[in-house]
Amino acid sequence: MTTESVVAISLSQTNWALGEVSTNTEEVTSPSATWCTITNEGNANVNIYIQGEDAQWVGHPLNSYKWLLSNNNTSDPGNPDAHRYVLWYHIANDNAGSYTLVTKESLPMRHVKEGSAKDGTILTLSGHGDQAQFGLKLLTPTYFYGGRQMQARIIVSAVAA
Amino acid sequence: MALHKRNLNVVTVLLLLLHVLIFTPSLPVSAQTTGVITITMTGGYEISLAVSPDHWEPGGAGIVHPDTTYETDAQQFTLTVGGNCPVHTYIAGANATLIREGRIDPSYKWSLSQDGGNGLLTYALWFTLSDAAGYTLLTETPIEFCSTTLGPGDSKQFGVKLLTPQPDFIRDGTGYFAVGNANIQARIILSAVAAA
Repeated sequence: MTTESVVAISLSQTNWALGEVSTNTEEVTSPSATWCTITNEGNANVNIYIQGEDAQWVGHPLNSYKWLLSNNNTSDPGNPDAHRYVLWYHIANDNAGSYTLVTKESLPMRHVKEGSAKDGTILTLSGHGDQAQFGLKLLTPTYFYGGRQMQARIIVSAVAA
Repeated sequence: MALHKRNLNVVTVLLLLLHVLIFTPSLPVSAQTTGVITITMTGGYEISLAVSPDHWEPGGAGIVHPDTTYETDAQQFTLTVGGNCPVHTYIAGANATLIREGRIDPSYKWSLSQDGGNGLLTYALWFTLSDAAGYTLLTETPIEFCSTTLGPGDSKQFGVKLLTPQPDFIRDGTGYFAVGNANIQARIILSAVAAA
C-alpha cells in the first residue's frame, strides 16, 4: 500500500515592516540568517522556490508608480529615474554574508557553501517537520518619491521533489 | 457450475481493483504550496537646496560705506531644489558679524533691522524674486520665499538689497565704521520643509 502525499509549508514570518527608509540604503532582517523559518507541514520531499515582485504604492492601485525589482544586484546608481530596488536571501548556515538575488522569476533557493558538496544544491525539506531558516536583505532605490508607502511580496513555494 | 464461474469472475474483478488501488502511485494532494512575506516600507522625505552663487560682495571690491544701499540683479542668485518631494521654501536674514582670522569677533556686529530702517550698528536686508514686483524685508524670522511649492529640479532666481548702518563716527565730513579694513559677514538662510 502507499500513503497519501501532501505538500505544505509554513513560514514563521509573513511581514517585514521596514518603516521609513532612505534612498540607496541596505536593510537586513534581524536576525540576518534565521529571521524566517520554513517548516515542512506536509510529508513530501519538497524543493523550495522563491520569487519577488515590484513594490506597489499602497492605497493607489490605479497609479502606475512602483519600485521595480532589480534583476542584476544593483539599484542602478547614476540613473535618477530608476526607482529600482534589490532583494536577496541568505540561507542559514551557508557562507557568512552570502546573499543570492531574488527575482520576479520563481527560482529554487540554492545553498552557497563553497568547498562543500552542498554548494549550489537546492534547498530541500525532506519530510514532515523538517525546517530551514533564511534572512533577507533589501537595497532601496537610488531615487524615489518621498512619503509614499510601498509594498512588495515575496512568494516562497514548495514543489514536490 | 454456471454460478461458480460467475463468482470466480467477480473475485477476479475485485483482485484487479485491489491491484490497481495498491500499486498505482499516489500523487500529492497538492503539487505545490506557497507562503507569502509582505514587505512594507515608506520612502523617507529627502530635501536638498542649492544656491548659486553662494556669496556676494557688495560694493564690487567688497568695500562698503555707511548708510549706503547696495543691490544685486534680481537674477543674481539661483535657488535649486533637490531631494525627492515638493517643498515650501523660506528665507531669513541674520545679524552681521566681524570675522577676524576666520573666527567671529563678538566685539563688533551689525544687528539686522526689524523695520527696514538702518541706524547705528543696524543694517537692513531685502530680497526679491526675479518675477516679483518689489523687495520684501528680511528679518531673523523666516518668511515664505516662494508662494508656490517647488518640486525636485525646480529653481527660482532672486536678488538681494542691503542698506549699511549709519556711520560709527564722522571725520572730515565723511562717515566711517568703527573697524577699518574689516571683514563683515552677513548670512541669508534659505530653508525648506516637505510640502506633502
